[in-house]
Amino acid sequence: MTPPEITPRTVVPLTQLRRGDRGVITEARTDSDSRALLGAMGLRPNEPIRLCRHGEPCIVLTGACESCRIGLTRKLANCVFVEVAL
Amino acid sequence: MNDLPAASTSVNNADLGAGRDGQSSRPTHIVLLGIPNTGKTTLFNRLCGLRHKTANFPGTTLESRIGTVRTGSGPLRLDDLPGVYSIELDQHEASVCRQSLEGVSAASGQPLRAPDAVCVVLDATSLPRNLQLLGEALRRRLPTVIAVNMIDLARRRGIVINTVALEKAIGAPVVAVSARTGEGIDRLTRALASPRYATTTPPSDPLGERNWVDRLAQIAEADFALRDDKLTDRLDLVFTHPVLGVLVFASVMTGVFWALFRLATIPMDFIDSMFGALGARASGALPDGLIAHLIVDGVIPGVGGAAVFLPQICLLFFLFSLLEDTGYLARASFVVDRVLRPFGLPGHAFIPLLSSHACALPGIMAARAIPDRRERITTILVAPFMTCSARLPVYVLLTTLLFRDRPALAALAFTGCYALGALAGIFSALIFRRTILRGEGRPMALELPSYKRPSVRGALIQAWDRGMVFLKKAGSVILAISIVLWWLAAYPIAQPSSDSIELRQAAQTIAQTEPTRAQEMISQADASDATRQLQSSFAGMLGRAVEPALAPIGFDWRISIGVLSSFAAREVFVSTMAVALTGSGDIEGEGILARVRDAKRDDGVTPVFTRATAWSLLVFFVLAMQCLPTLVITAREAGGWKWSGLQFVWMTSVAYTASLITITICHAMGVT
Repeated sequence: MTPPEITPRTVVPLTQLRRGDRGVITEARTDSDSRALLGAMGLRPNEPIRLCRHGEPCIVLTGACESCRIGLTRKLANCVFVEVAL
Repeated sequence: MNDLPAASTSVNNADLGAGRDGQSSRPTHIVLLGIPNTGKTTLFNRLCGLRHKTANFPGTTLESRIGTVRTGSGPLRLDDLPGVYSIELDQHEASVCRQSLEGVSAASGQPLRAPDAVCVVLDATSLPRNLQLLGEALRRRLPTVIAVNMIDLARRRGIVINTVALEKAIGAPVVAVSARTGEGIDRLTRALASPRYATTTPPSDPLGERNWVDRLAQIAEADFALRDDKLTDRLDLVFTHPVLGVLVFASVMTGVFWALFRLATIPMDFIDSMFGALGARASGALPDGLIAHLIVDGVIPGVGGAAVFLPQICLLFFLFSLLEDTGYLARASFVVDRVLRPFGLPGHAFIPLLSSHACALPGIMAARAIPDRRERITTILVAPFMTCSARLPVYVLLTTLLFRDRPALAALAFTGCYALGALAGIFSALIFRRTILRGEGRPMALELPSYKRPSVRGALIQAWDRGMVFLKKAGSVILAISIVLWWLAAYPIAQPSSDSIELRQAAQTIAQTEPTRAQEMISQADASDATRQLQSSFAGMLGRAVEPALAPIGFDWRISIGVLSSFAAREVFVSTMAVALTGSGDIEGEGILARVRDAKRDDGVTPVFTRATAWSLLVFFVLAMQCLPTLVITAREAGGWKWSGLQFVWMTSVAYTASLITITICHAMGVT
């Protein structure tokens, strides 16, 4: 029996992802109101995402649905951290 | 089967007024709840059609649409609540939703009638994202109906939702519908007449709620895995690109402007001529006297002055509704956000600012969509700097006076007026955001809805709605102010001058032999009487009273009357000037324009409109707050008369200072 493959992972802000990169949200380091809004929009911890557009706006496709695209200003995207495979 | 994790599944439905099988007694009042972009408003339009009215939620400036749904068992009231991602958020819209569900007034906490049931609208193409809000609604323990909207779009994307299993798991009716095509609407209408209490209450702790949402998504048996949508990706890249995005935005807005100023002209001219004909008919039909004077010179021009802008307002909201429906506007918000953010305004502000180019009233009302209070008030305060349609007749008069026979230069000056207004607006915003409305702006996070074909029916209903709101709110205020201004200009009644009496007597003498000449003499006498009336009226007295304050910027008492009268509506300035300088309200003829240009001040030598005065007046009209209805709407939308006061003082100060600088430069350059 072969041991499961261990993929090294790291946590980075959304702004450091490249177009097409996938990851899982770990946290949003922002004020509680913005965090609550992001969470209600689907950007909450453990949610898988894919980056569709890098820069301003940063556009992510959330894992909760096929058609849910969320655009974020660079400032806000810099506060959202995701775990990605190295 | 009901294996959902729940805080409580043993709610006694009998205690809640439920009948057999958890069904409530027949409801008469239902609220529509859903997250943004679920097609909730399209569904409301489909269910109610034109059977609705627009009002504010009690004690708030947030707009509510209340409609009537005809069900088999009678009509029921349907309230369209604002779209929210969560009713527990610390946002104005969420607070209104919470209090509407609880049956209390949002502002004062006064008890109102709570709804009998709630209809939660879910987006079939992204069901799991909607389930948190559904859970929050179910925790309120109201009879519920669940509408799974956009089922046609979901089907096209291969998403199949098991509504039967969902209904069994939740206990409340679940109906798949397409508000756009009308699919499932009959079933939903029947379900609204018999909502049911859910048999499960979702947990309120975050982990429990998350498990509940995940489990419900599994029960729905839909495949919501990540998928590539290359076309949307490419369109997003273009529409939000720093260069291409701006070009697309500029093209789209040019199209909207073209439509506003070209297509709307046809119905605007029709309305204008209709009110003109109505005035003429009323003048002929009514016996001469106070009532006839009030109706012909006060009421009809007042109502006509507001109604003439109705086509532009309706067309603007029709086009924006179409654009919003396509999914483009959300992308455009980010393009504009990059431009406006350094000045303390959010991307959301571009629709209010753009709308203000038609009229500041709908522009200010459109600022309701801006979530942050400080940003919303800033937008409201600066929106009237944008060049509205009512300023155009004034621009036409002054640029024609300045650049006779040089249309290219007149057009350049016209464009300069638009640019000056926009620049003054955004720099004023910067000053407000750095001083009294200081604070960190809310970084923008927007859902970018799927691109889709817009609903023309929905856009028409939206245009109708906004048109009616405009007519009710602006029409009544403008009408009242017009009557006051009419009274100021009509009283005290001046006796005809001896010259005028002599002219009329001479006209009578030659009426049989030289009828054309006699008619000309009567017109001259009428013009002389009108000018004399204005001079000796309360408005004339006011003009003379404020003349010392306006003299430094080149305005004499006659221009001062025009400036004061334009508070009713800016375009009134033109007709007031025509009356004050020529005795005729008609400014169209070249003869009248020449007489305005050649009119002299009290010294009999200096023209009323020197080039320096015309420049100063043009700058003043670009920047000044010359619109009482706007101040009324500002007070209502911003939440108090202090904001209207600030808007008036700020804009008037900026206008006065800029006019003073302009006339000083003109004099320094030898322009007189």
